[in-house]
Amino acid sequence: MRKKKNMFPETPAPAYTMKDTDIPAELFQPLPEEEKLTDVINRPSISYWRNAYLKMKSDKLAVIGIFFLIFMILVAIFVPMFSPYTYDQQDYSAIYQSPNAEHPLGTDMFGRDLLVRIAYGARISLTIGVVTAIVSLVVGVLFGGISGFFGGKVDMLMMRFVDVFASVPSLLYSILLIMFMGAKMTSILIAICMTYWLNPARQTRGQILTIKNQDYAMAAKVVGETRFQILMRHLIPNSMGPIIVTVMLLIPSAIFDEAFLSFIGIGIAVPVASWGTLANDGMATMGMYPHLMLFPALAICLTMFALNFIGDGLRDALDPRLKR
Amino acid sequence: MEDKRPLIEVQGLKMYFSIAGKGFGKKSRQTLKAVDDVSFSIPEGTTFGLVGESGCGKTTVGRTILKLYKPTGGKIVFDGKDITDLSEKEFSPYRKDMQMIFQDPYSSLNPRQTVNEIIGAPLSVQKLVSSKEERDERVRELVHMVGLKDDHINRYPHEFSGGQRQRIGIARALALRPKFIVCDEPISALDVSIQAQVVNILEEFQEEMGLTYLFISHDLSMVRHISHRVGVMYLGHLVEVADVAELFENKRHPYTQSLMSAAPVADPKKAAASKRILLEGDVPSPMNPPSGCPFRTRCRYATEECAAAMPPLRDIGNNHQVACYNML
Amino acid sequence: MSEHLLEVKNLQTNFATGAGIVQAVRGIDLYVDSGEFLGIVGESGCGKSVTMLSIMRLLADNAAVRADKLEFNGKDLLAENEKAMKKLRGNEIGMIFQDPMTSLNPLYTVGTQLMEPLKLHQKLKKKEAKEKAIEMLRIVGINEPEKRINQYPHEMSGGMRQRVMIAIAMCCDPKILIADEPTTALDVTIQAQIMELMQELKEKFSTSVILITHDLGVIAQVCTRVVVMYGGLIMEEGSLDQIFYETKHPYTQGLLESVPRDAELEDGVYEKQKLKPIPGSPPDLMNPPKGCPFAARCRYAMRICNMAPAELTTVSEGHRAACWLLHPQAAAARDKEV
Repeated sequence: MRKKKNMFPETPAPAYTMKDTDIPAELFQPLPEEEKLTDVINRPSISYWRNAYLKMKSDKLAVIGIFFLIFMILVAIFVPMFSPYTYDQQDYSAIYQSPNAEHPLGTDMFGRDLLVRIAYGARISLTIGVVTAIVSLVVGVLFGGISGFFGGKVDMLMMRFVDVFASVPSLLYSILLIMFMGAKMTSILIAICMTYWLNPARQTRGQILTIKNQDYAMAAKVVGETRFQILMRHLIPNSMGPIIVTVMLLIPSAIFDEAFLSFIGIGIAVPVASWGTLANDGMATMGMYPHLMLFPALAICLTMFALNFIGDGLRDALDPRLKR
Repeated sequence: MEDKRPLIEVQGLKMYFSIAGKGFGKKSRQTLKAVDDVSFSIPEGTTFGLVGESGCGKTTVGRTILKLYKPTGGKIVFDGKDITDLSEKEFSPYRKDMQMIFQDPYSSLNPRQTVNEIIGAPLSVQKLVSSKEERDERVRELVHMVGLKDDHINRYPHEFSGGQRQRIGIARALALRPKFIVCDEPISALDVSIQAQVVNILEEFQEEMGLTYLFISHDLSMVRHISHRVGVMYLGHLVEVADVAELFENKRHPYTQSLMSAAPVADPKKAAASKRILLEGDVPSPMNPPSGCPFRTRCRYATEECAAAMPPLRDIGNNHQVACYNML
Repeated sequence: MSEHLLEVKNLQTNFATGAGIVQAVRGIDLYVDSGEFLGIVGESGCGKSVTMLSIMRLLADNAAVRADKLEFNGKDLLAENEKAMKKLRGNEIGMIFQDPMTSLNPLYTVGTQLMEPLKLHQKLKKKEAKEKAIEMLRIVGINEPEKRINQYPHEMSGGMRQRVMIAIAMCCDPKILIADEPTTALDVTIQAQIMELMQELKEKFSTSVILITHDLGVIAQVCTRVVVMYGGLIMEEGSLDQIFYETKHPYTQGLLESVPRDAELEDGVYEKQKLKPIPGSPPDLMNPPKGCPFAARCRYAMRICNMAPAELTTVSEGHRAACWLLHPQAAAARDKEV
């Protein structure tokens, strides 16, 4: 048996016991009604979102993740603005430099500053992550919401459409789009979004179908709320929690997908730097100049970690079973 | 009681559900006859108790009356008007008069809404209040009516106990000043000490506002306490209907008899003295009910006649109807 | 060595939750003798199920249990390791839970699940175990046990599943059977069948039974001794008749009065009286009141009730109640008033 000392807070000894014979007589007078504390709720009232915020705040990993992400965003915005170098500025007098005072993360084979290039890569990666998340949230919730809400034939048709989309490997979309539109950020974004909205759509539909059959949705119908009111007041607010978690976890995989595409050489074209292209370039000279591989890889890894920690923290915080 | 006009009349109500069966195609779909040819009427200001075991269709009856399902057959008459085939839009004004209290106090309140929003929604939806102040005032009034306090108005459902939540559900149903309320097992999810609170609240409101209830429950002693007239259902059929005193003193249908003898009595001496009629076996599946009388597979008195056709509800006097060939 | 089959002294169980510590069981004494049919009655959240799960050591990781004494059949359960407890559960202590669907494994046939404990605890061979399993199914009133033994739980009805659960719990001839709300999920007619069966089995096997329920009607039918719990404490205990006819605690009284009186369904005229509910709601065990947990809802509450909990006081042979009204000074104070 596990015994935890702090699990049993000391309770003060009772003021009186049954064996006492000299209890003041007035204590045996009836308890006034106003001192009967029934139906009183002692705990402060906490809304769902506030509760989630408090839980999130107590989750150390998630907080670290958020701080790291903020740090990364600041780097992405300000480093290219204030650095004396640009991402494509070449300097043949300073190639393959190890980290030093002028180039904190060193330089590459053309003498370009790695810090600026990584910061620039962060812009691309974070943009791709955030745009993908927003697009798949909006499209997915709309599509899945309509499908689940109307049900029947509409639902059948819409979901088959989703199935068709999902049956083609996403790599194929990417390669095709990049071939047609060129290796730009827009083409990669479109390629990634093409498949990323499917999951939120399916999930929203599932949520809506479940909540539609909850008693409170039926109660809303009984008091005369219209279908649209039921959708807006009951179905959507109650399905948002899990969907936000899913979408949040899409950000790191979208970033990773872009890095992967760039790494295998069909992503962002030179001289624009993304984390994937940087890692790819670095790999060629890994034996001699490990920092060229190490720093982009670190940027990818740490951002992945941070985003996943945030996602997990959100998942715990938005757990549908709101514990008392 | 007879002098009062019926507020609700249900005639030959049928509610069949189509259920996907094994295999593909339309032929594999099975029909679940949840409610089959049920008729009763409820005079204004009285309570009609509907008892039966799970799966007997009593909840479906309540929901069909409120047009949450589209009935397969039969007629529902509210206050002299046939509401069976009204569209959702045409029915909308009737929603004010017909409300519902749900069984599960946990799933019947939206967890994201405060008590104020939950009770206030019907008021705004039916445009019974013109301003926010009026709405807040009315919500406060309703909250007090069910014995809760001002301090509770801006809290969320998860902060309340089951009994408190059920009272919030009652306040929501009362918000529109309905004439008729379907109480769908309103006490079965509650603790014993809380059940009496809810039943008392329902009774008080009936006296004050002349409400009419359809009280659906499997708890016979509570049904006896609150109802004026009681119907017993088995596998989608109404097998016996009578005024409450008549039914409990002069129960005729074998199912009613065994149901009542099986109900536990919270009194050791009476429990020891009573003879129980133990039923063999379980309720048959409603997907595949027995031919004729649905109860015949568990009935002591079943004859060949019972297998041939469902016995009709026949009046045996005293406004008492039984659907059985053998017990008349 | 205690003279009781199962004895618990000062059992406390706390749960760690996100919001704080919930004191589910706050120091209770309990005993069960051999051959006894003990009923534990109380509302949801009163700690009745947690008490039994604490004794069986079946609680999740966020729970902590401590007791001055926890003895079963001369063994200190707090000292036993998990392996020994596993052996004890199912062999010497049988258990039935509320929901027969979730306590049976849907992936195995009823026979497999029934033979498992027989092979494990009784060391029976496969053939013997099968014979015993069929025998047990017949005893719990399942028709055609030879056929049923190859069925899966989902092919059976709720009542039948609960019978299978009982067969599994009883197959190793346990000394004690713990039934946690065994009939709550069942319909009235099925509930009557199951209660009848439990009574028969108790007589046939001379097993002690602990029946946990919220339903006084079920208690009245089958129990010999009753413990009433509220707010993590025992309010009253005594024989069936003492609890029902010589009620001492206002909570027990309130429970008895909140069901319709004289609602004997067999015959007779029902005189309708207004129900007397217990007002309010049960206490929050995260911040349990420092006095009697029932004081806030009690119509006889005195000032002292909010200051200190009353200990269990013997009223008569085997009948104890925890109420300040039983204090000699309370009687004196009331006499003066009258």
